[in-house]
Amino acid sequence: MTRWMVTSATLMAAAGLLLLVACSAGPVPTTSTPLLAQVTLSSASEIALPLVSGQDEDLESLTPTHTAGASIAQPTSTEMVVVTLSAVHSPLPTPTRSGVAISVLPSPTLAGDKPPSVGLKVVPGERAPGFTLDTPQGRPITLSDYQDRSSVVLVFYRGQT
Amino acid sequence: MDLRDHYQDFQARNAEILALAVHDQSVAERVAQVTGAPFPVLADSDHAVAEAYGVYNLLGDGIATPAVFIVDTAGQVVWSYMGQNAADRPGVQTIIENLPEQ
Repeated sequence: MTRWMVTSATLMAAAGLLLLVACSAGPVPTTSTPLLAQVTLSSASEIALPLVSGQDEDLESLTPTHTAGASIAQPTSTEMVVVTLSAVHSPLPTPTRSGVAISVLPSPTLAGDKPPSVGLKVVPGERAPGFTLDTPQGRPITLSDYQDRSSVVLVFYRGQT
Repeated sequence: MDLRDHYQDFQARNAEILALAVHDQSVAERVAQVTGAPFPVLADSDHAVAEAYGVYNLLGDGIATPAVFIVDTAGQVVWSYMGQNAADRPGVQTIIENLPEQ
């Protein structure tokens, strides 16, 4: 029982440290410019999106405390520190990005009643998704048809322009 | 948006403008007529393209947020602008300044 409690406390401490690291890992978005915040964090969008939709279980699966907890054979206070530190520095694929994603969660833009397509999917440096759409006259227009041009400017209208 | 009035500036830089609207063909046609757009106005009626670019329904109104993407000849996005509200659009000069070199 005591061991369980200590282990549990260790996990909580590790999770707490992770959250601290997460909060300090990236810029915390302000609510006044939610879309700008997404621009800043766009490199983490692929990770942030499943976090938003999955909520807590995804959050937990990203924290490395499972492996840390398993290694606690003799939970002393000294080892707690060691284990906690090793948890923080464990080789996550992208620990910094995970931290950024966690810090994004409080953003009302991401966590509110927004549709699933939230987030910048295409940012400078990435490939522009191809498409073929018809003009009102029925003429199909394909983005890649314009490769002989120096550039194509895609303008998303709202219909009342 | 006075893209129409500056269309020749884009053409002089060998750039093409494609406008997309999350509406059916009839609305796209009306937009083309009302704006007198000399460039194609395309109907993204199933909002698939707007979704692919991550601009669909960001404002919760079922259409695309105002946004501009500049795509270079290699098919890579080199500049983008995401409107923060329904009226937030980049100026034409800003777009022109961000066109890639020919």
